[in-house]
Amino acid sequence: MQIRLAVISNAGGSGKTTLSVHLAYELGKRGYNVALMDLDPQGSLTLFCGLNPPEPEQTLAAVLTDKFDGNWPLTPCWDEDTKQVVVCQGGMILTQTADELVLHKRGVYLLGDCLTDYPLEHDLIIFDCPATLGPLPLMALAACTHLVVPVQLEPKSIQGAAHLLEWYYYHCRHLRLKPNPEILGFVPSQYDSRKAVHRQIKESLPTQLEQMNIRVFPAIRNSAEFVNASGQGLPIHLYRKTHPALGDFKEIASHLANLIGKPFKKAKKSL
Amino acid sequence: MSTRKAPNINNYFSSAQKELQLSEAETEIQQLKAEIEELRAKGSTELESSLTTLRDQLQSQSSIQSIPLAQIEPNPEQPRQTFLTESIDSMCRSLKSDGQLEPIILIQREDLVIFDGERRWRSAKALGWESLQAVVIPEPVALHRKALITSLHREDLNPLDKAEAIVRELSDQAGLDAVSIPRILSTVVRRLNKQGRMNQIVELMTATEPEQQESLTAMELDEKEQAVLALLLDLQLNPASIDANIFPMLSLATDLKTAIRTSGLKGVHAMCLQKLSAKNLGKTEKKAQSIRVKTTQKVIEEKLSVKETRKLVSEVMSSFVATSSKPPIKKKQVDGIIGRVQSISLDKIEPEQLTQLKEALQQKLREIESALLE
Repeated sequence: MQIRLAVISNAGGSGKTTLSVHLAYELGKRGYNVALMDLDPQGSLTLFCGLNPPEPEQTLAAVLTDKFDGNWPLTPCWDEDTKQVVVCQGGMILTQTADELVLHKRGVYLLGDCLTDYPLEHDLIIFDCPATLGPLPLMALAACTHLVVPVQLEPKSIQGAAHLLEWYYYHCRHLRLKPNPEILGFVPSQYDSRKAVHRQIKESLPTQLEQMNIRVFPAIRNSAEFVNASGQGLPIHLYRKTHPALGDFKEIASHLANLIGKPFKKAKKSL
Repeated sequence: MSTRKAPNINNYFSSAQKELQLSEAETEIQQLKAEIEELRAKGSTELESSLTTLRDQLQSQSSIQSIPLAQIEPNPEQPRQTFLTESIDSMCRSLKSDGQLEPIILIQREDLVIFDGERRWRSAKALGWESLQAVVIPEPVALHRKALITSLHREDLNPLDKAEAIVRELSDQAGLDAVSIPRILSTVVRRLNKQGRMNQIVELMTATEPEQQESLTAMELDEKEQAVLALLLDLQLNPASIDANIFPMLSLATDLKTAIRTSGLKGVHAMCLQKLSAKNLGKTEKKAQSIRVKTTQKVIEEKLSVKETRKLVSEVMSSFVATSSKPPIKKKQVDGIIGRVQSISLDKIEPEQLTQLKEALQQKLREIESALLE
């Protein structure tokens, strides 16, 4: 089954792109075909994947027009190590797309429509969303099968995530999504065990979310190496091959792998 | 080092939880709708055939007729005596745009009395319609009880209508004078409370009818008291709560009753406003009523909470009581004082106290004399 995973958080710096990139790499290494899509006008994925800044026609913005002909602008990344991961880049042009979406008849459903009309054969498609609850994440919500919420273990970030849940329930009803995308879970990020507030919230968050049937995955630890790796355009796996933080992604990656099932072998047919 | 207080993140998620509950409710509605559709589609033959029978019966006995509005009478036993303008308005809109969807049901008495459809009837009159589609049925037994049971446990029946409906039902069933019923109940509740036995009554709410009867008989109550309690329990009503919250509505001032029925004033608010009585304000009935009406309007317009209403009432009271001096002592009270002074039996009082009494009376006498000189 193809999983379309929206990585959403309305707080900046909560680790959306970090989580997207590392999940893509982990699943790629397990033999799945992964497409990363950057819905963020900042184009962070370009940086995190070590790619060159794209021309506007080579971004997701080109897909989200009525002229789109099914030729997805997908760029391979980390291709010395894996052939499994491609990126559909974002960029400033997406701010214009966001404005136009509001007036478009199928606005919120546009990305979902593109994936229906011109399906991708990847096992996993990851939507890396900007840090707002605006039209772009809403479009990702309407197009995804699952969503995952990275969250810092600090009051402001938790409060933001609570609002995100309100937003999610409200829009699932109002967009009449059938079926509703599922919340895969929360992923605590930048966990620093030396900080009391991090330990306390890490302790109490699962109880809160359990009441809503939402799972909390193991925390991703705080490490300067994440920042360093992103500067090199690499996942930490390729930057520090034995770093202990590598293990932090195992559980959520296995969970995704279970959902997808066996990798979908691309039929080798000539186009 | 002092222990640091953990941030309480419970509150953060309360709105999200509400949204979730809404979504779950909606899903449930969808599922139920789907189930209904499925059942209908299955044609569940049994239901379908009984519906057909019923429809046939209605067709033959009392087919749908067009009845002039003038021939239709409202049901005096209708437990719902309150029809807010908003609810009539919305029915008017529906009648105007979609026409009459279902026939109203009338009972054949001397006149045609509404069994079901009073809101439609009122709305049709407001719209200036001449007639309504109706089905006429023969008089059902215990009409009021049926109508009462269907609406008693609905939240939208206001406590005043509820109180009147219950009193009517009790007086019909037990043959008691309607006016005496609240008093009978309050007497027995007060007594049982004093004896600490009220809990036993409340526990009976979930018992079977024979069990209720048996326990009530064992409590050796007055015949009327037993009848009232038995009937309330049979209607699955808590006698203590009826006594405390519902029956007091019956003694509300007329203007407050009107406000409940026409402006949607809540029972609890009405009880607060009731404190603005002629006696408490030291005013005439008329003046007190005008103060009450003004205050009630404010409560309704500003949608005040119970707490705010209480505060407002006490403010209004103190503003009036402060400006007017203490109410004059009535003649009757003075007569009482004179009577008590005259009837003091001196032989029962110790000499020491007699001296005190003498001094007090002399002091008072001097005050009276100087008051008379003024």
